[in-house]
Amino acid sequence: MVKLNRFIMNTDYDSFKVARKEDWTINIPATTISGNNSQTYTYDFAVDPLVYFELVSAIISEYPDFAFTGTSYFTCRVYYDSNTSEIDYAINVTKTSSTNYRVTVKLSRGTYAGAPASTNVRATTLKVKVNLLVPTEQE
Amino acid sequence: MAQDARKFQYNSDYPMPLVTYRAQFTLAPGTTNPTLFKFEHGLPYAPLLVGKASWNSDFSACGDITNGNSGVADSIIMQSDNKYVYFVLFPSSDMRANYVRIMGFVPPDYTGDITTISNDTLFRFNSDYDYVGCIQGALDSGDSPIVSHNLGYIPQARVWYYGTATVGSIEVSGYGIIEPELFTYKNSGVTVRESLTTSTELYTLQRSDEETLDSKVYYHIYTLEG
Repeated sequence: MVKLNRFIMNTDYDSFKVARKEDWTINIPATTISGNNSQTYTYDFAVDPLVYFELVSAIISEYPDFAFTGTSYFTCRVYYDSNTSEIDYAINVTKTSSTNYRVTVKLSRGTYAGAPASTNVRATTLKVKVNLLVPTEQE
Repeated sequence: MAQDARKFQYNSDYPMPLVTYRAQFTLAPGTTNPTLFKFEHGLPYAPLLVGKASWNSDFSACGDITNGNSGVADSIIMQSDNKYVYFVLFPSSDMRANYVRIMGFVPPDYTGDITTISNDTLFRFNSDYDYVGCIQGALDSGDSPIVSHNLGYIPQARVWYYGTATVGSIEVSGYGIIEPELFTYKNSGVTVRESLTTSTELYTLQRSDEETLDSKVYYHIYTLEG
């Protein structure tokens, strides 16, 4: 029996190695969203057929000092026009085939009292960084 | 003097996250919707789980279990406690089987012993690859939800939330402020959420309008750049 927390590295147990690193830059065009509508963009990227566990992070150009990280689905809310209008960015990274990842970005507009009829959404750059991890035993 | 953690294939300043549990299951829809599954994991603690889900047994198209799975698998909730791994399957109308492949980390605050396992095959460490360093810890209710890492770059991170105690509300609003929405299912047990990182800190924020807020937060801050 051993105490796990005494070891920096313990070869009795598996860990992760970084098999690949991917940097995807996605340019989301300027658009206008009215009412409660939404707009969806998809971007496809090719990778190997291994089954990876991913660490994914997303940075939106308007807020370069923050990253959403962890699992592969994030949302963030960007406020426009002094709180009367907001746009939700829902970002989802999924493996869609043995050789393909897809990043889906859905922009949705919420409305409440005082909101204008539509929101002019600025062009945005989304930087998605994916570290593809495999168990140390897997080749 | 601190050095950039990204420059090293393996950096002994940071422990490697230890995977103490690996399993694969087939979840076939039952007579109820949702369908609950539970499997004994045999560990003396609730493992912090990560996993993939797919309608295909070869995982050719798959998604992270916690992200709603977006057309590659059904919606699945994954949790753990000190005895079981749980899955709640919300099958689509065609009632397909879902395949899940999961791994579990030991919680950072576990100080007990664990039986060693044999290591007869393959290599655990290969200098052809970078290895993931990890700053890990646990936050109790009443602790600050903000963790300083001071890596000097924006890292990738993962958080797990445990329990059902209310820890108060956090509301962030105002022009130009990001309000992170942390999507996961909350109930008893350990669940997985997103996290928000800067070059100096990890934020483990929770929305005030969620059902109940959790009493303990486990985190991994990886030395990988986000």
